[in-house]
Amino acid sequence: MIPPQEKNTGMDLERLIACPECDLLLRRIHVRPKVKAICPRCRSLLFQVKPDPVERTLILSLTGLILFVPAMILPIMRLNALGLEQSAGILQWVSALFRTGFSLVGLVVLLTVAVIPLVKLTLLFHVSMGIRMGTGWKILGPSFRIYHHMDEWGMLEISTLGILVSIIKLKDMAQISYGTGLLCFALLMIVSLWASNTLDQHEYWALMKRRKSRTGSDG
Amino acid sequence: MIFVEEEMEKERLTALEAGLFNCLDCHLLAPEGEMPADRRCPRCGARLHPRKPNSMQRTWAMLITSMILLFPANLLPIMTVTYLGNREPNTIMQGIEHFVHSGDYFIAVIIFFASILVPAFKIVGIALILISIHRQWKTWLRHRTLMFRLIRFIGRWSMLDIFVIAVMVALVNMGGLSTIVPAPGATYFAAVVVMTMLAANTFDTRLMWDRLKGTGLNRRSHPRTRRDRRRTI
Repeated sequence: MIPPQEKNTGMDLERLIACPECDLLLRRIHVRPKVKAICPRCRSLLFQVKPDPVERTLILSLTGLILFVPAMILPIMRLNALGLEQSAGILQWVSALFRTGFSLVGLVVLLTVAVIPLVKLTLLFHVSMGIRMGTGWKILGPSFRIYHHMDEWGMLEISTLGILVSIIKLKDMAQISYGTGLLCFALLMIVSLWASNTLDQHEYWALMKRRKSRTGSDG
Repeated sequence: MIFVEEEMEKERLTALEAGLFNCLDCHLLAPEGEMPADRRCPRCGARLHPRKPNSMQRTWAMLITSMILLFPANLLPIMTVTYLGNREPNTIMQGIEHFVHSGDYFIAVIIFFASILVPAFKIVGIALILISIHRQWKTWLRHRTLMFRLIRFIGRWSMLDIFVIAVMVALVNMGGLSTIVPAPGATYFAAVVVMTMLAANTFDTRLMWDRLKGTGLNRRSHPRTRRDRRRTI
C-alpha cells in the first residue's frame, strides 16, 4: 500500500471527482452538454453539463421574481355556494391556518410555498448575476451554499398538485372560478423548476473558483 | 466525448482512502493534510467531515421520532368538515374513502400514495438501510443506494395533503353553511413529513459503501454516461 500522502502529490485534484453517494474517486471526464455522467459503481448522477447555464438561469430567475408577487397576492380561485363567495390566494391559505390555531402547519406552508421559493429565486438571480458581472466569490459562495441546502424545501410543484386535488374535492360542493393568481402561480412553478434545471452547480462552483484565484493574483 | 485513457489505479480508492475530503456542498476535493484549522472547505466555506457527523445516530433519532408521530398522524382526524351544522372529522384514510365513494379513483390513488404509502415506505426503507449498515451487509449495495435515492426524491411529495388542507380551510369558510377547519392530525402529519426529510438529509449513503473497504469489490473507476455506455474504455 502506498501511503495516502504520496498518492496525493501525484494527483491533479482539478481533474478528479468523488462520487457524492459512494465516495469512489474518479477521473473527471469531458461530456457533451445534456449527457449524464454516472458513477460506475453506485450509478448516481455525478454531473451533467448544461448549455449556457448562467444566462438561462439568470433570465428564468428574473422571470420567476417578477411572477412571484402576483402569484402570492392574487386570488387563486373563488368558491361560490348559494350566493356566498370566498376567494383565497396563497397568503390567505397561511392566514386561515393561523386563524384556526394551526400555526405550525401554517408556518410550514408559508415557508415551503412562499419564503423558500422566493429566497431560492433571489439567490439564483444574485449568484448568476454575480458570476456574469464578475463580483466577488466571497459573497456568492455562501449564497450558493444556502441555495443548495434550501433546494428540496421549496414545494411549489407539490402545492400545485394540492390545488388540483382540492379543485376535484370541491367541484361537487360548490361552483369554482379560477383567478389570475392560478395562472401566475402555475407559471411561477414552471419557471422555478426550469431555472433549477438549467442550473449547472459544478459549472457555477468552477466559475466562482476561477474568480477567486483571479482576485487572489490581483491582490 | 473524450474519456480518460486508462483506469486510474489498479486498486480503486474512495476519496477518503486517498486522504481527500469530498465537500458535499461544492464537490471540491480537499486534501486532509492541507486542511485549515477550522476544517472549512477552501472554496465554499462548508465545514468538512470525512462522513456526515453522527450520521447513524441522528438518522435513527429522526426516524424513531417520525415512527412515533406516524400513529397520531394517521389515527387522529386531519380536518373537520362542518356542513349545515353537521360536524364530521376526517382522518387521512376517511378522506381517501370519500374519493373512492365519489368515483375519483385517480385522486384516491394519488392521496393514498402520497399520504400513506410514501411515509411508510420511507420509514421502513431508511430503517432497513440503517440495519444493513449495522449488520455489515456487503450485498445489494447498488440497489440500496437506488432505494435511498428514490426515498429522497419522493419524500417531499407527502406534503401534498397539507396543501390540500390549506386550500380547503381557506376556501370553505361560509359561516353557517359550511366550514372546514384543520384538526390535530394535520400538525402530526406535517411533522412526520419534515422529520423523514430530515432523517434522509442526515443519512450518509457512503457509510454503506465503506463496508467494501479492503474487499477488492470496487469496480471500474471512470464515470460512465447513459448515452455512450459502449464507448467507455
